[in-house]
Amino acid sequence: MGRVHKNFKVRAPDPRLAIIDERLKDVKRIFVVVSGKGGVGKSLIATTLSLILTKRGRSVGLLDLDFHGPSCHIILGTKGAMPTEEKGIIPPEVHGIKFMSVVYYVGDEPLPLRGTEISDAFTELLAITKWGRVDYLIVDAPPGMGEEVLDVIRLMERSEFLIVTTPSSLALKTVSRLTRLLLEVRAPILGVVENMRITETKLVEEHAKKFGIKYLGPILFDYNLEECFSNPKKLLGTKFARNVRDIAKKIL
Amino acid sequence: MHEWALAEAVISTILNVAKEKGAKKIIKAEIKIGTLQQIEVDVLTFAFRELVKNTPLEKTEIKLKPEEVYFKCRVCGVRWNFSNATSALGREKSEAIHFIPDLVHAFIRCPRCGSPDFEVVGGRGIWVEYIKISK
Repeated sequence: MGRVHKNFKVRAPDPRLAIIDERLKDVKRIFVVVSGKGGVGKSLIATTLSLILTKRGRSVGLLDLDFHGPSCHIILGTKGAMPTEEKGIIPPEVHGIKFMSVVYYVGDEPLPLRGTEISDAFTELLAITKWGRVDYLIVDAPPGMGEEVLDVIRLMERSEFLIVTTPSSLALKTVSRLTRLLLEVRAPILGVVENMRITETKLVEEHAKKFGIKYLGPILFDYNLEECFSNPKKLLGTKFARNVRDIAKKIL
Repeated sequence: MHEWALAEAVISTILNVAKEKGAKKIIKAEIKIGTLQQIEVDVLTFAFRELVKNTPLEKTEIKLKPEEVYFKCRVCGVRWNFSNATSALGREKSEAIHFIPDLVHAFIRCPRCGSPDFEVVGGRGIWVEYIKISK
């Protein structure tokens, strides 16, 4: 008697999840710029770091993950750039950086998304974006510990986190919570950056010491940054960029 | 051609599940296509046909089934459908929704109370409803 074959109906997971690793397979390192607090300079650091690495001849991708308040495109100056379609979505090169953001599609319209909708939009973005060969993918995360950060941890397993804070006890309280969370899930932490330093303080260094993470140094408050937006050449000539270069040396 | 990316994702999922379950043969897969994403079924079918070549899915029956999307307002509770909501959207906005369906929240509002806070009920994107395998 021959062997009896039984037929089964089985359920399948979200198909987008199966392709994300494939989309990221030629990305060598993923740096995620995070902070519990808003307004501490994540987007500026993420964009400037991307420009610095590009200038050094590295291939760089920049993903603006802030669906509610994207701003990397303003810093970079992306006028007229649009992704192209080729069996997926290919981010346009803006000043040599492969730059992806929902801003291409929604412009200045408000995008009122709730938690699961953010998660869906992020999963879709990761599933369709073809980064190709990239040395560094820099991800600019929104403030907080919501969907975007949790999904980065879940879906981009090779992520390394760059924590940004200002030397204010208000920012540090929230950043401490985020640091605890990242340590709890054993996410690799590149270190903590002290942004917008005006006066000498040891607050951030002490924070780093307390959590056993690397203090990557200060970025001095730069009053001239606003006039450098959409002008990468000018941005790279600032004191701010000089400080980001020093930090880059410590994490590469 | 974005359909190609979706087809790749679906095929990887079916192959992964079949492997996990120790399938001898993958008999059938039913794929649901939400109308919100406005997937071009002809392009998707072509992509499937090309991508299954030389894979264990070559002889699998792949059935595509559309699923109508509805929106439900979280404020006043009214339900409305996609074609009513999007007939006035231009090409660019429709294309944005095609790539990332959740971006619909930037472009439409509740037809009764004008709220931007609504839910997408079913029919959002593409998913594998079930896979029939033999062991």
